[in-house]
Amino acid sequence: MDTEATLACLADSAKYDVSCASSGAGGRRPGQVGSVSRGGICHSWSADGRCISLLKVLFSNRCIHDCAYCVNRRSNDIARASFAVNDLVDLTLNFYRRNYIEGLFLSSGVERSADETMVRMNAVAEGLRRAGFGGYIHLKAIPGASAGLIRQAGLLADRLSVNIELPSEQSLKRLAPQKTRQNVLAPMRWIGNGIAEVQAERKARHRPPAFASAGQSTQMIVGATPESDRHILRLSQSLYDQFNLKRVYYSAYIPVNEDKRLPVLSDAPLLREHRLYQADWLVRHYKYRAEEILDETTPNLDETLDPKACWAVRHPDFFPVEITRSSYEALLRIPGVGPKSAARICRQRRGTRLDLEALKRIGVVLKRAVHFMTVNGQFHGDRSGDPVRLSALMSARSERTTRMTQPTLF
Amino acid sequence: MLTLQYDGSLDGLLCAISSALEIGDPIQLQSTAGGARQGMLFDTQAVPSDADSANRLLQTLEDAGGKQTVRSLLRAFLAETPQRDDLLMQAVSEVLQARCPLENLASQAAHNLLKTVRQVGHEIHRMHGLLRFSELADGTFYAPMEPDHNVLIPVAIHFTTRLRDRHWVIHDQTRDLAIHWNSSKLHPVDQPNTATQNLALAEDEATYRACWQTYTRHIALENRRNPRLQRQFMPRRYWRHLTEMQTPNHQNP
Repeated sequence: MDTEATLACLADSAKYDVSCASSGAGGRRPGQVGSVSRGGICHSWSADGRCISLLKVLFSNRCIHDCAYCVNRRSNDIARASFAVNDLVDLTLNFYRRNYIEGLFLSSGVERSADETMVRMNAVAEGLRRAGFGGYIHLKAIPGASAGLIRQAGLLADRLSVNIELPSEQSLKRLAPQKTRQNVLAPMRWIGNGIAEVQAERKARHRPPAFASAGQSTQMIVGATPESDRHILRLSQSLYDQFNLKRVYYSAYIPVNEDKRLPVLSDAPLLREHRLYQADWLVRHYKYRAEEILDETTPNLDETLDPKACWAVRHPDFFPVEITRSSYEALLRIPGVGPKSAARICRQRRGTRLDLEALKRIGVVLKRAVHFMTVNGQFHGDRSGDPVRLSALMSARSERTTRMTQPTLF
Repeated sequence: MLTLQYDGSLDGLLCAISSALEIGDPIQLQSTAGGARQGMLFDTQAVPSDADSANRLLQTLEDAGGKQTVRSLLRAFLAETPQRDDLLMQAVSEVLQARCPLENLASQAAHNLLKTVRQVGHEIHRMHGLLRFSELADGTFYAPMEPDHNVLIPVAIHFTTRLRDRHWVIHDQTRDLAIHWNSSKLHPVDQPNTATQNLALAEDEATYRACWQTYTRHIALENRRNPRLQRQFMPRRYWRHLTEMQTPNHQNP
């Protein structure tokens, strides 16, 4: 196979991984060619509307594993290919020089052993850095690879990730019998420790070597197994807490294989994925805890109303929030007020008397926010106090916002 | 109403704003850069461009509103919207009066100006991603673009740290401006629209373009096809210079 055919084959094998972020990296000197951008840069969008930031390919799609959900599993009859290290380095550099990409996102099937796979992936990253490449590199840590190789990967890459794939031990056992939870969590812990070490060292000396400066992330398949949204969110919360993860990605299950262990779905559960991302945003940017968003009585996210509005409807005692006086954190809890509007409110209320007109200019979505705030003591929302009516009011209006967007940029 | 004319430069505009604020009456600003127009209906007065008084105004603004305010105002100058000059004048006067950062003002003018600043910022960011370089036969990398605003310089500065070791040219075809990087310094290029006709491409260029087109086609998930979302992020007006959109599936209308 020539490079173009290999590329086509290994892009096909990599495309089910949803991560594409190129943000958050730093601490490395810019190279001869390449730099990173704090906010990340999207370079293109493919026909499914997902952004293309990194050259996302597998090093090889030959794999000894036979995971039920994976397109590259051993028992599938698909075209198989592997890159040569130098070809992939050359391709990445030439794409980068043309400004097609922000860097490389490299994963791989396990052709013989986890260690051998990791060695070859590290060789690509090392080849790039030796060529003076200062752009973004995201490496997948292969479950089962040794600690030394993961550490080397961390020194070469801006981001590392280990995919959890399935949200529980039982599901993993059923669908990916050759993987264990321990195999996945061990590298995650090593990476987490490596990042923490560098952060501690940064206090002691000026410029410690960068170790996965954009942090680590993971991915879970949603809808292939019976776990509830509550289970998934609590798992994410514990990953954020324990391993200091930057991102958890959720991937709506798309049937790629015929397998009696897998559910038959007419469509990928895109709305469920969307709601999980919204809830995840609440955890990372709005200071909610997973337990607040879903409790035992409501194990799944509402399909008609977004999770923040749901929380607000369930907590009438917290509202209304007075715009002119309340803290940033309280403002953030108002549906229709995001981090940007909340920050602007805090700035602008110092010098001016805010009114509805000003709030609209600030970017507050008044249609939702009026029911939960007072402006200079005045309340402009629904006074019935009936949660059903309130939900109906908001969901009828928020129809437009249920149109799917892909919040995978940062 | 009095019309103040300036030469189209940043210094010129700042001087005109200074004079306008001194006069105090409602005033219209007019740039003579696109060919001098004579004010037929109103009194017209030309304001000379003077770097010193322009800098004095910037310093006064920094004292009143801080560095971020000055940065915002300078960025707004890159915008090409008809209300730009009036908005800038209004915002400058409000900042000087309130003596606080632009971002703290809740007025309509401050809001509109910051919106303009964001639009320019968005386009700069967009060009960081959507600019496409091609390697020429002499080894120079060449990138044409047609942005809505005058963003050539900030875009070029981004690429000085990114593509440091090669020569490249970024060309704003709309404004007939181009900038050349010789791996240590930036230089303006004379009359780029005529100079860049009939460029010869490097031998490998076609191969990498084909690889990129193949890649973008294969990375899309068929079950999640959503061309509307794709266009929302990547509007059609940018497609002309995007390598991956030059395939039969994506020909420009």
